[in-house]
Amino acid sequence: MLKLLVMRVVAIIPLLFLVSVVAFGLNQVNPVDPAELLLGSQEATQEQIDAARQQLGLNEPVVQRYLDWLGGAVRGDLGNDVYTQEPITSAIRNRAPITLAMMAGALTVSLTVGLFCGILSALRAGRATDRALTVGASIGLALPSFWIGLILISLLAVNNRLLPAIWPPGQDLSLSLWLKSLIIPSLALGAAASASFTRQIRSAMIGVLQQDYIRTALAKGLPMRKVIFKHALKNAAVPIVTVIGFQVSTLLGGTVFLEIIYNIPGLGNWGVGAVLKNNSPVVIAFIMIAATLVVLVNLFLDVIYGWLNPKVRT
Amino acid sequence: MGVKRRLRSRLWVTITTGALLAAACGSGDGDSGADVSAATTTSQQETEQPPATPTGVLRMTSTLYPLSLDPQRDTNFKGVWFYPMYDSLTMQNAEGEAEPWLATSWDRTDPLTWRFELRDDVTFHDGSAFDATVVKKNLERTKADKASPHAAVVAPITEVVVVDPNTVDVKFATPSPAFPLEMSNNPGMMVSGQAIDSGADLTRTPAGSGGWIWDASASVPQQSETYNANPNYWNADVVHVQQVVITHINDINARHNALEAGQVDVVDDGAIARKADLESDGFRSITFPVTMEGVIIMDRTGAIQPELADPKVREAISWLIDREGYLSAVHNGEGSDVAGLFPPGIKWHDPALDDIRDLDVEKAKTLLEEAGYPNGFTVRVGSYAALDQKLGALAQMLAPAGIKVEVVQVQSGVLAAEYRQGKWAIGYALPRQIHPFTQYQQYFNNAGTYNPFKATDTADLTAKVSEAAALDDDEAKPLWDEIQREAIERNILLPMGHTGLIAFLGKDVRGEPFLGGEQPSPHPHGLWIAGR
Repeated sequence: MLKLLVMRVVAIIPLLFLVSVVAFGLNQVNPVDPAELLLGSQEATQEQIDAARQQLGLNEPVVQRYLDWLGGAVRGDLGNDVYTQEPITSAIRNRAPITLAMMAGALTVSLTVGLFCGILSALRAGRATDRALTVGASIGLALPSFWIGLILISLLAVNNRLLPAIWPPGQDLSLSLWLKSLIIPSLALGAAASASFTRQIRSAMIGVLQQDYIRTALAKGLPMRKVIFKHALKNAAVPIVTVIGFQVSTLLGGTVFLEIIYNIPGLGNWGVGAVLKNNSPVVIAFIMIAATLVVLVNLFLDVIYGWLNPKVRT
Repeated sequence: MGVKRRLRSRLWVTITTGALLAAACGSGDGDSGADVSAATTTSQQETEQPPATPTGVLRMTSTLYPLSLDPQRDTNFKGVWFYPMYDSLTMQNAEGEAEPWLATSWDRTDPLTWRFELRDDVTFHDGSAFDATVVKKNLERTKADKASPHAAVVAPITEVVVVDPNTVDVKFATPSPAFPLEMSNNPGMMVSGQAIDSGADLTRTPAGSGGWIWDASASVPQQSETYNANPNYWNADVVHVQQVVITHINDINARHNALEAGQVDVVDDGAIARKADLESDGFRSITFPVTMEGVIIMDRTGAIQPELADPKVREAISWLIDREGYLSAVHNGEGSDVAGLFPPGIKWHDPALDDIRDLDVEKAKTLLEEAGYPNGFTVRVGSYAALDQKLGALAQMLAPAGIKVEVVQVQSGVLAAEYRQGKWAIGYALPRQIHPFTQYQQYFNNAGTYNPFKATDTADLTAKVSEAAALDDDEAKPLWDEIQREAIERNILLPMGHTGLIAFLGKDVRGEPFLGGEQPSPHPHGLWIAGR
């Protein structure tokens, strides 16, 4: 198991290096000049633009700039926002907890709903409950998370004022307000994932519940709860864990829309704004964060695979 | 079966417990919209008198976030971020006229000189005093800043003369009839002379004299700015709230939701289509009768869009604009669909221009054919969330003649800069309708801001404009009517509709808001919150 873990960790390093090269390279072909955008006027003189480019280090050769960036990045310095000069690491510190909490909330919601509905659907396979849940899951998959978010905002915030309609401004939010503000985005983001989990868990559980050892366990008189949670669910978990890996990427993408409609100062809103403004240090940082997050989640899932299935440990 | 039922019941218990926890979490805190609801009820029992001392928090929104907190480094549209902390020389009233603010009066001593009399009781937040020397330093600073979006306003200034500590003469190379009005916007916002002398970078260190002082510790870059009441303000009669918090909310639905949920008190740049239902729910609306929405054709030289170099193509586009349809689709039918540059009700409206252009697709097709583009062409236009519907309508209007409008998403805060940088052949324009001179200088004058491709197609109008600018407004009206007609016939700025920007005020907001300026939000001056 330790060997597996070490191998996976070692494999992350070249992967992230490759991502950084691609991210940096793609950013170089963007025709928008950050120096011109910074000066913000056609009437800026060429001398001013040149000075800004010099100040931003844009006149250095691309390879040199990449090496400078890489040198800073390995020491934890990702540079500064072109427009506000805010250190990017500081921005990440402020924004990442919100986005990660939103994703964690969405995963919690989706796994809870998915497990409940998926198991129920499998137990009732072919019956009315199963069909209703299957239709519900299809609808859930079809509805975009931002639409669900708008409906939830309308119902829970605008009409009933139970929850905030936008992320509250300010930097000293109380923990309770912070958590309360996460409910709508987590529910909206988790809805589609719930549907996905429901379908996956139903499918996996139906397959496992038809196995001989389940029949044997039931014939021995084991309670259904024990059969499901101890014997069936663990063996059905491998495909479910795989779906979790996919969902993390999907959820990260979904945060972008929800952060806009809920005015959340998270990573998604930040990344999209940076792309539109060609705020290159932020764009690269955003890509690296997204890549690192996905890689770490997959590393975690690899460990889980190993725990679930001893055959992959070797 | 009994086992399964027990299992289901346990699962339900789990879900129900989660829901109860969420509900408990959602009802225990004092910071949510739910508490604001209570405040709304309380407010109805309050008197309509402002508090004796600044009290409460006024929460405002802004659709755009400024690139800099230096007023000379950002556009008037984002003025809401600046008015709390900076004072302007004049203040624009609801009728679009300049009123005294830091300047107590002004007049033209000759056609090329504006003389301003100044207040003598104004102190900047850094403790330095305001006087004529500070005005001189500010105007010279803006003029020296070639990267300022206000370069065109100060470009004609030749000299700023300090007559005495409270009198300053601003001399121009050409007459500037709208200059006192311009001084109510960002170009007229006065920065402390001490800060100017020190060469301070004002991007995140403002140095104004306004009714509220920027609070760095409570502000969050790119999210919200917080300002606290200035205890030494010269005009304390209009500072009623202790704190102003402005939050950047780009999405229009999010802004409306925040207002309805009680999370903000003033929403800028609202949807006019929401006016009726929000007012029926007790919210107030304010319309800014100062805007025309139009298409500006910038690349009249064909530098990046060769088709637009042909005047026939530009005229064809002008005959494709369905103003009535646009207002119906985008503004619920509100607004004026006249073809002129100023709508009825504005001093500069000319009824003879009302129908100078009208929808005529066949005529447009003929013109395009004559120009050699019988199948039309594709043109790109920059957009962001707030413009998508408007530019979508434009795309539909031009489509019947084969002109395909490709709407490209850009970050909202940089579109104006990109226009000036010549990145777009056509664009969405929102000229204010206060004075024809300003409008002409910005959108039609070949030396203006929106001529990045250096077209020379209005050079012959310069003499007439100068003549009109040197006259008093009443005398100049017939000349401005002629200039308007000629400008329209050159198909540079094509009105899609004359509308007002609209802002909404929460149920607890009291006082008469200061409108004015080009920004789509009332100022915080004169407002207070009942019950908070």
